[in-house]
This record gives sequence, C-alpha cells and structure tokens, in this order.
Amino acid sequence: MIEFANVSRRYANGQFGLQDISFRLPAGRMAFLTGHSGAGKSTLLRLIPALDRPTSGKVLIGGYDLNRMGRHQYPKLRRQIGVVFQDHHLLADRLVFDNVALPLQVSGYLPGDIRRRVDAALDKVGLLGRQRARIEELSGGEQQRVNIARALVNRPRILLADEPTGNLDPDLSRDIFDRFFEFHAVGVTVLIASHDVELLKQYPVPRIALNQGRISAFEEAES
Amino acid sequence: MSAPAHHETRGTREKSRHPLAAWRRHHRQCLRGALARLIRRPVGAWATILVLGVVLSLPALVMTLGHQVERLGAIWMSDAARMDLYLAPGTDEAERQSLRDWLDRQATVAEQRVIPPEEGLETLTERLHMDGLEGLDSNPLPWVIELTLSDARPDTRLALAEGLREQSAVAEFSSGGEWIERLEQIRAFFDELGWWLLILLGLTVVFVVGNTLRLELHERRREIALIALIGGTERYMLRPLLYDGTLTGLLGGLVASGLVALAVSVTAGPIERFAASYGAAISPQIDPTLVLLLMTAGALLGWLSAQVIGRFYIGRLSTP
Repeated sequence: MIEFANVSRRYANGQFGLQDISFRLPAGRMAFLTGHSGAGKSTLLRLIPALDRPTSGKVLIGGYDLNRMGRHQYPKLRRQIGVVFQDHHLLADRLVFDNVALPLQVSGYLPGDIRRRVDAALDKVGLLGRQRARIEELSGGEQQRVNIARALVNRPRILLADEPTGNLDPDLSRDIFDRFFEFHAVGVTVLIASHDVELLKQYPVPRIALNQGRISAFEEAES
Repeated sequence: MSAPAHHETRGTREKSRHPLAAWRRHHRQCLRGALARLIRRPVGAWATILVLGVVLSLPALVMTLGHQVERLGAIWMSDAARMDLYLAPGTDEAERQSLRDWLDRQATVAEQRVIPPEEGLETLTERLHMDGLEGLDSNPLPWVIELTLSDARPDTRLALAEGLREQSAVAEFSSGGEWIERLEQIRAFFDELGWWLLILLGLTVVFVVGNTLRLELHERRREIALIALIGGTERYMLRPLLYDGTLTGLLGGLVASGLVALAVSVTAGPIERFAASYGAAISPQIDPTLVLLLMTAGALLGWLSAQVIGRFYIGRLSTP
C-alpha cells in the first residue's frame, strides 16, 4: 500500500517539485500518474523507493513511514519494489540474463533459483530464448521488456514505472501496458507515470493527474 | 554455476534465499572481478601498484638500514667483549683479592687477567719506544684487571658496570661498549624512523589507492545506483571495491619488497667487504619478516582506503 500525506518536495533553488500531495493506493490496486513533463511525476515516483526524501509530509509504504527509516533499512524496502525508471537503464555491456538476474543476486538467491526465475520473468515479457543476447543487440522495445523483467523477477509487491513506453510505437506500448495490467491482476500494486493520454484511456484504472507539482484531479476508473 | 537447475521445487520467497552461500559466492565473484580488472586495465592499475611499491619501500629501506647497522655492530662487538678495570691508587692485596673474588662470582665475567703497574709500564715503554721511563721515581700506572666478558651485548656490559660502580677498589673502567650502545641507539632510531615513515606514507598510500578507487567508482556509478535501487546493501556494493583495494595494496607491498631486495643486493658488495675487513662474513639479505610486514601493511592500507572512499561515495549514490 502506498500512502502520501501532505507531501512536498522543494528543491534547493526554492522551487517546488511537489506540493501538498495526498493520496492512497491500497495494496493490489493499480493507478496511473498523468501530467505533462515537468509536472512532478518522476519526483513523486522517486520518493517511493526512498531515492529522494520529501521536504515535508509523510510517505508510507506498507504502513512504514519512510521518514523514520534508517539508510540500512532501504535495501529491504527496495527489494519489495520493482521499478522501470528512465534513468536506471540496463547494463549495456552485460547479457540479458545478467541484467535480469541482478536483483536476485543482490538478494542472495542461488544460481539454480536465479536461472529458473530469470527464465520465468523473461517468459512473461516474451523474451524467453534471448538470455544470452547482449543488451546492445536488442531493439528499444525489447530493452524495455528486459527492464520490466528485471523489475518483476524478484516478485515485488509494488511495481513502479516511469514513462515505460517512452519512445515505443503504439502497438508495443499497448503490449507493455497489457503486461502491467496482468501483474496488477495477480495482486501487485502498480503505479505508472505516463503522459500518453490516448493509451491510458484504454484501461479501466484510476488516474492521478499532476500539474505543476500538485494533484489537479483524481479520476476514478472509467468503464 | 553447477547447481541443478530443474529439480528444485522450493516455493516460498524466504526458503529459496541462501544468504550465506550467496555471500560466499559474491566474495568469490569479487575476487575474480578484482583480478580481471587488474588484467583488463594493466596500465592504470599497475601504475598505482608501482607508486605504492616505491612509497612503501622507503620505510622498509630505512628499517633495513637499521638492520644492517645492527649486524655491523655485532661485528664490532666481537671486539667489544672486553673491559679494563683501573684500580684506585693505594689498593692493597686484600682489596684486590676481594674484588677478584667478586668478579669471579659475576656470571657476565668469563675471564680476568691482572696487570700489575710494572707490567703496564713495561708494555707502555715498549709501545712508545721511550727509554728512561724506568727512571721515574714512582710508577704512575694503576693496577689493571683485564676482563673478558661472557658476551658482547650492551645489556651485559651495563649490568656489570652497575655492579662495578659499587666497588670502591675500582677507580675507573673502560667503557668501550659506548660504541655498541650508540650503534644500538642508531639502530633503534632507524627502526623508529621506519615505523614513523610507514605511518606517514601509509596515509599517502590511502590517498593514492583511494584516488584510483574513486575513478573506478565513478566509472561504475550507474551500476552502483542501480544496485542500490534494486535493494543491494552498502556492504554488497562495497565488497568489490574492498577486493580491489586489498589486492592493489598487497601487490604494492610485494613490489616494495622487490625494491628493497634490489637495494640490498646492490649494497651487498660494499657491506661484505666491510665485514671482511673485520674478519667477519655477512651476506646481506632482505628480512622475510619485512616482506610479510610490507604485504600486510599494503593490504591493510588498501582495504582501509576502500572502506573510506567506498563508504563515502556509495553512501552518496545510494541514499537521498
């Protein structure tokens, strides 16, 4: 469960990235975060795995107040969150397998388990059989799917995605959103930031609209 | 990589994690990674190692110098296991006898020979090629007891000297051992200087290794940020760096040992000739303890450097 209570994030230059944000996303639910670029979507998402701290207000993840969390507790929090972020790319000099296996290695899984889970995750994103490919050999869409596989391989409770369909063509974008929707269907809490209004319309998912760091609208799912 | 892949059916999240086995595995990976980086970037890595070697060899050379001084001192000491006692004027036979008895009881005294004033005068006359000394009204020379000490260690001499000061019959005694004491002090000075240099230059090593590691970290900053994001602990992120630092330090210590060995072998000739002129034979060589010290110091300093730099940078990369 993700809960924001009067959260503001102010930058060193005095400008607000986020201002007085409050919302609640219960466990197992899915929501879209919409708004123009610069509206504060990435800033909001970065607060959830404690990559950034709010200037004021509270962020609660699974009931835990991140303000009260010490830095040695971050790994535990972050292992429960799968992220598909723009600025956390794949390691281009490694194989697909190595990239997807990374979260498992970090969490202390053994090679046999890792192989099994990586295969399963790659299967889910339709890349089974590409384990030994180099990241550089993949297309943009395939790379994004590797990203998603990496975010899911650890079976996180929460999945965050920041513009996951950035430069992809509409068909591919739909394909990726379908997969997110599937994960939500199996109980993962999903929060996706996107400005692709047309694409979002196709899913019966509530939308949190951001404008200049504030929530401008909270739209329940249409359908 | 040889674990069976398909017959594992463990289900839950917690059961399939093996922290200890994974930890050991990661250590192995980090060691392999550190070796691979060493081979992959030979110029940068070896330049650092060479600098470390030179820096660490300095204190080691000073210590080695102290060691050589000690050995040369030992040669002199073979000459120094002797002591002359000059008795107070007017001591009578009974006093001399009681002194000789006392000397007999001293474990530090191996032999004693009494030289009466007449014999002394004779020897003196002979040595100085002077005639007419016999014509002196009275013999100005004192009774002398020539001692051969049980060994030539400064401690032995000092202990005996202490006892001799209590003996009223002894007016003075030769302290040929002063030289030895001085040599001992010089050696101690070199030793101390070596340790100080090691500490001071150790700081330099921390900075030199730290700078190389900083570059390494900078190159891997995206990977580290990624590992932090997916829940890697600081220890996990630090581990490869600790291997890099320790390995670099260890090899630096090895290079330093090599440099000291080279210096020793270059100066071996003159030292051997010097020793030979005293009728002794020594062949200078590097002290194995010193090699061990250098490698341990190098490894420790490299590890320390990785801790300091790593914790600082990784902390910045992984926390808001």
